[in-house]
Amino acid sequence: MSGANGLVRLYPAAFRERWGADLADEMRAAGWKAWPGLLAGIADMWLHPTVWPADSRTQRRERAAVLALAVALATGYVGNLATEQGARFTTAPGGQWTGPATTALLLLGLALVAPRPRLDGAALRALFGTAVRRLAAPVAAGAGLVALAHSAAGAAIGASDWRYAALACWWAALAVAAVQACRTVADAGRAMVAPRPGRLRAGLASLAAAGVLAGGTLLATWPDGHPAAALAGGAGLVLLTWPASAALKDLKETQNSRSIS
Amino acid sequence: MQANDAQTLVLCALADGPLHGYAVNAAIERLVGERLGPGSLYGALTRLQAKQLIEPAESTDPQARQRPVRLTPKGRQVLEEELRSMAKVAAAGLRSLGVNPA
Repeated sequence: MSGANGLVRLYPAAFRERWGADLADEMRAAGWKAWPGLLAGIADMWLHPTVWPADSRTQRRERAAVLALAVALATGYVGNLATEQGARFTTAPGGQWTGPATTALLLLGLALVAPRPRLDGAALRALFGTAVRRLAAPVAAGAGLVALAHSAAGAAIGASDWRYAALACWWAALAVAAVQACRTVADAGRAMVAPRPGRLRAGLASLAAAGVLAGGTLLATWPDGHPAAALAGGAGLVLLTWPASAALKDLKETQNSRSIS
Repeated sequence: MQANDAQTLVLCALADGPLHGYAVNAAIERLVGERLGPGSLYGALTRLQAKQLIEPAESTDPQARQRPVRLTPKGRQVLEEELRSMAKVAAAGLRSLGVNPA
């Protein structure tokens, strides 16, 4: 497999199935000078799942819902990680209310964008089986770490440098669980029903608002003692609003486009 | 609105009839003197298909790996509106510069 073909394989499967042969020929003709543009194109496609080749508008909404779920989980993850590293919402101006407001917006967005399970016994059993298979390892790892932290050995680890490894494992387990939850929803197919367009747009707007509010608040706290956590966390949360905003724009364009750009 | 916008160029290239991706880029090269990067070209084709401005066309060669695309009626209408708008802006700009529009 040539380098160009390897890069083409980084595109989403739906894109490769439609354009893979054309793209591989184009890459062979263009040579390595086209690689940076191709890498930018790959990142662009992963950030815009709503525009991937699809059989129906429902399939586009399903993909937007999975992206929204990933944004919601990543926003919660980055916010909690920054807080654990010392960043504090409460030291920002108006910080007492921004924390609860962010949580409310995040939960509202999650409730609006989450696909609903279809009330079909066989489909639900298949979905449950997939979820158990994918989430078993990260959930077991997380439970094991909690049990370890409450044991005598946990006290010894907490007093040594091994605590950093334990913390890294904990956050890695949470990240893997979030990724597997998104994969489970993405592969659910007919077992789940995508949210309707209005509901999806409202959910994406709520998630974007949560990211801007939380990110802006953390960025405002950076002079107050934990600049690295506040800056990295705040910037990460604000950046996470990008895919949510892009999905909102893509949904509008693919539902009723009357212009090129 | 930009004359060198990738999506506008792709629509212009398809105005003559169905083409596959590689041929679209060759037509763009004839039009503006340079090819689009593969990432830009296939990103533009994907977005145009998502907006239902282009659609898959029947291939004349059933064994061909590449599948051609063509303008939809909506794509033709949007391209015409976009080009008329560009022509109006270009004519006004050239008049302001004291240049006679060709």
